[in-house]
Amino acid sequence: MKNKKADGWSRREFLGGLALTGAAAVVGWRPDLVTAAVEPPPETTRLRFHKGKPACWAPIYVAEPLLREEGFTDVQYVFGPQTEVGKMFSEGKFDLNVGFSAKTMYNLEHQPYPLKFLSGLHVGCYALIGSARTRSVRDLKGRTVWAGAIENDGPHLFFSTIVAYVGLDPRTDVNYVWVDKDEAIRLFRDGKIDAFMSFPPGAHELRHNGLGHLLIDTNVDKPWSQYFCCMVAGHSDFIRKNPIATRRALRAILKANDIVARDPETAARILIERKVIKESEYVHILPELKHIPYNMWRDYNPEDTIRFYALRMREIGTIKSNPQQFIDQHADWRFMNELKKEFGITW
Amino acid sequence: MKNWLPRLVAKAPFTVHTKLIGAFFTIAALLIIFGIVVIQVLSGINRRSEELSQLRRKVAAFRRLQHDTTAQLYSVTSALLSPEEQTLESSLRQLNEFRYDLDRLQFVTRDEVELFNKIRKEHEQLVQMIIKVVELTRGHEFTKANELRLTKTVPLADILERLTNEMVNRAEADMEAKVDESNRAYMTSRWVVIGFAVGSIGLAILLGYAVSSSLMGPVKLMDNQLRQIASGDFSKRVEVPNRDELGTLADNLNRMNNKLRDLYQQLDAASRHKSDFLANMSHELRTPLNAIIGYSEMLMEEAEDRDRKGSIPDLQKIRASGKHLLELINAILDISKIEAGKVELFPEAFNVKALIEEVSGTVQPLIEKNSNIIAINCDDDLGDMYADITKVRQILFNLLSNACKFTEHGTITLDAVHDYSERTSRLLVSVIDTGIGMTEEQMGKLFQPFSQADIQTARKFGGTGLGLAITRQFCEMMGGDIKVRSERGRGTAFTVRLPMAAPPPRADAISSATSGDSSKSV
Amino acid sequence: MPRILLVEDNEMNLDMLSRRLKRKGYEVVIAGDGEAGVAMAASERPDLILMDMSLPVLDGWEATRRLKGMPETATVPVIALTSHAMAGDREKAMGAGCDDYDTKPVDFERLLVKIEALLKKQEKP
Repeated sequence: MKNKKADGWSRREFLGGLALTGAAAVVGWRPDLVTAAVEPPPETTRLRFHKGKPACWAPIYVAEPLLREEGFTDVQYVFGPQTEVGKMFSEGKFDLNVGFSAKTMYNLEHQPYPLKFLSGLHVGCYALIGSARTRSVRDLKGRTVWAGAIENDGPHLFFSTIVAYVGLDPRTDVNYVWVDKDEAIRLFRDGKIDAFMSFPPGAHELRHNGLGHLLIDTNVDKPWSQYFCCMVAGHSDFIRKNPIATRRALRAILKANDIVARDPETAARILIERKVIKESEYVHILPELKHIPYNMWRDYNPEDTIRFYALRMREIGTIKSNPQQFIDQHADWRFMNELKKEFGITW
Repeated sequence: MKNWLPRLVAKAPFTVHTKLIGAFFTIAALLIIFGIVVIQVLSGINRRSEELSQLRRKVAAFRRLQHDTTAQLYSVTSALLSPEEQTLESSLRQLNEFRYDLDRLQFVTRDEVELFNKIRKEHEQLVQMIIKVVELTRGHEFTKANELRLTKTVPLADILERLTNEMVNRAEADMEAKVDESNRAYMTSRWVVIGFAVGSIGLAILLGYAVSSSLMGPVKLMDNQLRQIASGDFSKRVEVPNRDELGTLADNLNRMNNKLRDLYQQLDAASRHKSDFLANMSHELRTPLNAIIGYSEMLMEEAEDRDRKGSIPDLQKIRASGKHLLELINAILDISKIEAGKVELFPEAFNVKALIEEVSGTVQPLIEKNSNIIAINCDDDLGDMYADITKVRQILFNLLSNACKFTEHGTITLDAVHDYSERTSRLLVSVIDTGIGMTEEQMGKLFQPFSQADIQTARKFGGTGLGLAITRQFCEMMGGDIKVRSERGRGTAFTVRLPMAAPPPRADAISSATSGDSSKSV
Repeated sequence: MPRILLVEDNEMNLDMLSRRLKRKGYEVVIAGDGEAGVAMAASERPDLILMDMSLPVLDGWEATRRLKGMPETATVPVIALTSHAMAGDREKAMGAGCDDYDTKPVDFERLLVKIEALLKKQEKP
């Protein structure tokens, strides 16, 4: 029943949408008449997203025409490097953003800023690829790995929780090389490193080139596949001042989520249009988008994602706060719950 | 500010006994409260560890359910692979395990009703599906059964796993929160306990200080007062804030002081009357003596003139007896005046060396009388002295005449030194003779009035026995002192120390100022 | 022959001192109290005055002060005779203007020395 929900919703709410998901036709999307009739217009017509590189954030770009339908006439995608997100957020440069939940929590722990999680976005997308010598995660003990170019960035945090889950100490039991992705691929090919923490389109790229094998695919492997990877969050002030706008924006993003799930080709094209990815990457991004479970936002409880990652990071000493502190300070599920009700989902 | 607490304790209208017991009870109460606080802290820790173990039981129950779910799926799969009645039967039987797990879950998840109900619902569906799969298998509809297993039971099991995982996460998150709370509570408790300990110690010390000060302060005051009384000063009263036994003691002390003061004043008055009487008597006695001495001298002169020398020795005896009597009376007059406090000092500047020479000139006849010789050694820097010259003269005269009296065919040495050794510069005069000397016993009563070393001495050497007593009195009045060293048969040395500049009048000399015009009574 | 005024209230002392002074060759005039002494000094013009200090009517100190205050008697030397050299009698006497003092009972030889000295001093200037 549950995993049919996406179908149900798309059938009732999305029939028109589906017909219009040709790249050019998105603008002509017919709004949902029932909700729009009773809901007042947003308090603000301007909406600013953090524009980041990860291809898995496709829904925020796919959502733009839907946001216009919701009454946002000025939708901005403001670029900011990963390391500056917290600072820019504090300075109020974004209204909404999406990001890897663990990374966001890590940032919040070390440099608190006024962010509230609003909903889950998608599951998975990370993959741990091992060399021929590596049969299981435990084999990584004493080996050299690549887990991103920067310490304590998303890939490293995810990798840490993965190895800690099988009893290795991510700080002492493995060696890291902090190099960029191209260099890491070269090292992996040369057998200098034994594991590669990839994110789209890394996993597909490597396997396409016949390199390594999947140790963990977080899209499908439990327990990772049971939790959100990236989540939707908003600036506390924006949410407080603009509750209607927040709900309307979230509605558009969640709808876009379904569109990406149903029509990854269009989503990939939009990413190219937005210059998030290069034309040449299409071939690797598309299978990744197809593979990532974008339609889980109805079923999964985002609060449990926060609990899960907070527990894991606390176990390895990366953060000190307990899960409940994050939930109390940095979560606001009201809009998501309202939208679920609105879409007839009895969670 | 510092003393308000001891003062407050002292003023409290309770007995010392009550106050001490009160202080000890307070300290004991502090200990008890401290103990209670510690027990509270410990019981808090205990409660939290119990809550933690409850949460652990919860996690264990969830894991159990998860395990059984997986086992059930495995069982159904194997039942499809070998569709025998026995495996199907065991599949169905395992459903009972589920119910048991759910009951257990219901027991441990009292707080998460919503989530539990969801799990129960999903479980119910799973059970239905499994029963359906088993029925289809029994009816040999394997394809349908397998399809149902893949499309329904596997996803349902996934959801169940996710839900139970969520419960595990919740329980773990609760545990972590509880651990944090426990840590915070520990920190708080630690500060509470430390604060309470420090506070209690501080309070106990303060209390001890207040009580002991409230007791010792008055004791010290009263000790001082007793010292004052012992030194003859009755002018002060002791004032203590205490309203306890010490307060009563202080009151009694003041009463005693007043009584003693009255007695002392009476005695003093009596003594004064005696001295006045003596002074008057001496004066009255002197007038006829003047006549006796004067007329005997005149008669001697006339006998000389008229050549009736036979009567001269008798007249000389009358005159000598009169002079001795006069000397005695003068000495008595002096001592009684001193005792009556009627002696005043009239300081003036004079040259010390000149005075010494004058006095040594005066005693020359006395020196020659016993065939003695005198040696005078004066410091060159003696200079001027500011003091009552009459008294200094009398002191020197007394010492020298004394030395002459008890020395025969000997040497009398007078050393005068200006002594800068201490803060005030002083005149040091030593009169040393080679006379008969004294025993320890004799020296003991040397400066007592009317006590010559012994009766024999008095008979043999004459004198009033008052000279040294007067000398000492004068020395002390002028802020100096007199010391004696002596050896029987070898000689005696008197040393007088006098300030070169007259000090302010001493306390016991002041009383003379109140006794009116001294000269009139003479 | 120097003339000496003896002011003394005690008859025996007066008798004795005056006889002894006369024997030594002095001319002696006498007065029985302070006031009489001052009057005698003015009228008899003595060369020296022997003044007892404890006198009736007018005491020796006051009498001396008056004598020293009158131009005709101011230069006459006064020897104070005090009962006893105690408690500042000497200072008081000198303070009143006496030129010298001696104690009673009189050591006659000593007194003569003092008288001679003062008279000699008187002649010189």
